[in-house]
Amino acid sequence: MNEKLSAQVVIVGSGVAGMFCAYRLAQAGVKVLVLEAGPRITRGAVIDGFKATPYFNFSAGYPNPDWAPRPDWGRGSDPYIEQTGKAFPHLEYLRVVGGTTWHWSAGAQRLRPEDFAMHNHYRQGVNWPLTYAMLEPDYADAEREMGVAGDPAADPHLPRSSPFPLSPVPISYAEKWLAERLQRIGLSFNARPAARNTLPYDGRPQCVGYGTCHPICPSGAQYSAMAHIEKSERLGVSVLENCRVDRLHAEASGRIRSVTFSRPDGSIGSAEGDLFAIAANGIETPRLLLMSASERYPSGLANSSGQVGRNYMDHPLLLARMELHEAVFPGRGPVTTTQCLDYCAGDFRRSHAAWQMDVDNAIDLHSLTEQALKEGLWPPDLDNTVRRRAMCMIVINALVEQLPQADNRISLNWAQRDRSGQPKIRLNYSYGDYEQAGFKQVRDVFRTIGQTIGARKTDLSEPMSASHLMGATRMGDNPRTSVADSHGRTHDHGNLFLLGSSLFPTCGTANPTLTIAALALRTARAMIRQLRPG
Amino acid sequence: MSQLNLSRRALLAALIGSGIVTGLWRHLIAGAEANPFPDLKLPEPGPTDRPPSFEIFLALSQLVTLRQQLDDAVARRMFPLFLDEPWGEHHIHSTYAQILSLTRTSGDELLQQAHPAASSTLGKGQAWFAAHLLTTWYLGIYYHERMPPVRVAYSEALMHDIAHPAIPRRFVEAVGFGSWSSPPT
Repeated sequence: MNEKLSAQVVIVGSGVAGMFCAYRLAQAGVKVLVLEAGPRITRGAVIDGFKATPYFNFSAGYPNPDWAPRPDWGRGSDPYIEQTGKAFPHLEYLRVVGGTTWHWSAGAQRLRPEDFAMHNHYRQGVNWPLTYAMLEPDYADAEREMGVAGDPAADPHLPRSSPFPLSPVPISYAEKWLAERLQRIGLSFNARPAARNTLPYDGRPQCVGYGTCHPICPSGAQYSAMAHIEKSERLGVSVLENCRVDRLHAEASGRIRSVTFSRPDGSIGSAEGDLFAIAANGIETPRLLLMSASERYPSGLANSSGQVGRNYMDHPLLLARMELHEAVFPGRGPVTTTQCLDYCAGDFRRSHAAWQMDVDNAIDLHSLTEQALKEGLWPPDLDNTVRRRAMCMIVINALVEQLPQADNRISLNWAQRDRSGQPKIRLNYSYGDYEQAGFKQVRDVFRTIGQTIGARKTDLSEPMSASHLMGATRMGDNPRTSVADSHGRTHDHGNLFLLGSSLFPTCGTANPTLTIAALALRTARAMIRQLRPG
Repeated sequence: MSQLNLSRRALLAALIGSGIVTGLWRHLIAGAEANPFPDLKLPEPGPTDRPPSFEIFLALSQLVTLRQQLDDAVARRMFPLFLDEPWGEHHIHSTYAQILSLTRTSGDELLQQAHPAASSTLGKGQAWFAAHLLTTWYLGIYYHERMPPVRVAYSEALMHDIAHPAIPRRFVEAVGFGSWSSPPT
């Protein structure tokens, strides 16, 4: 053991959850240490990585070091996570300083009030241990911190205490074209709230429309947790890269005493603190709790309920690719600028999943060209075909709600190890009847849209993963059925907090990042109260 | 190595003779003032008992892609990959020789063919190789079963030319705030 560190609060993970909490603690004068498994990266190096890689997933240009490996589908299979069950989602996340907000679409929607009380409203799922009204001030705070651009008129039924800090992102031509035509069948598209600068904000520039929001924003106009890393470091927070936390140590009283971490050179260190928070994402957080099993805690830490790893949820993502008769010029500007909320709320949620629809204002020129080559086309027909398809393509996304199911579960395979030597993650995952019924409605609506806009061809995808990793350490009032309370404090360990989407008891249809950020601010307040009673 | 100098007229005739017609024919006619092949020099096929030269590989690439202007650095990254393939030398030699031969074939009967590689007179292996070469130039990625894929070009991949400037090159070009709300000018 050659490194011994200490702080008042030790946070594991430097993504948006960890850094929102760290920043708010540091503003209150708390000494904070953040341990990140992966390396620190630069925007330029990642862009160079994407230009050099022959692979096309959103993570392909980012590092995937041996000491902090992650899912990687570049070669068509992923040895990092052992998947069982009936569905095999291609999960993606990053293990780098700043976490997965390096590559995201900046969707910054709030959950709806009824999403917090699914059981009360629809007799489905469970209720959250807090309400929309309780979280609303933190939503507003998080929007200011991230710089969310939005239009309050887009969702007038959502109570708001303050306006969006930035005016909405201008809607892309392709999305305007689609929205005008879909009014005929009663669908309404509005500006999508996005953590993307429509004016210079908080030291970051205005968006100039590179159109590569995921896998990376070249200009930094799109929010990433790097913004709060820089602000936190200016307040004295220590963010250490290449420190992979392997274990938390609990005393007989249940109090967490320390964490042990490994460095890439194999050296081991430890960090002690008064409070600890795990913000390692929706898969790595439950994994770390399970890996911290001991004689006293044989099923892992914070797991007296047996709920750690269970109730894992994602937003199944269905796509419709529609080839049109006229050019709509996708691929210019942000990856998506609108949303349709017509299927997000309603009494139908008693029987089938809600879903959010948006338009993917990106163009996959590689896939289009590859397809035309496979069809045996040669220049100049090849050029003409790819050009026409690229200009005349609309891709519509549906993010579908998923209910918690105990068998959708993250566990460990102790008999096998990943590249870093840690026990392998096992994910058992399937879709239930509730989701399947939602998929059917999505496909029906997609077909209707194709007919309405006169698409010459409509291709529908199978459900994929949105890589929204939720639910596997859920919060709740009852310690027998949940892992943490409404502040993210674990029921079993009074000085151990959890941050991130693994706390979500249900998932609604909103992209999770803004809720992650709002919950982190709420948790930071609870930690400050605990550190300074009275 | 001797080189065959092709005038625009001769090249046009050669391309017509080779069957590179339809869209290209229209393009060449419409773009007569902006000749895309002002002074293309095609080398004679080399001796098959020696490895093909880079010049032959480049000329083959020009004929397969129907582009005179190909990035030299990309071609030099691609050349050893193709050369090292099983049958690589043979494929470069024979595909070039066969396509070049087609360009020298005159006759209206070829006018209906779209591309020399689509010609039934091109051998099966040579047609495969031409498609393989075309794929690499367009995608900027070299695929072969003997090894993992290799990125040989990014911005220079020909697929980016197709939709440019309506669709900007990824990571390289931005369209300017808000301009995405209107069609490109």
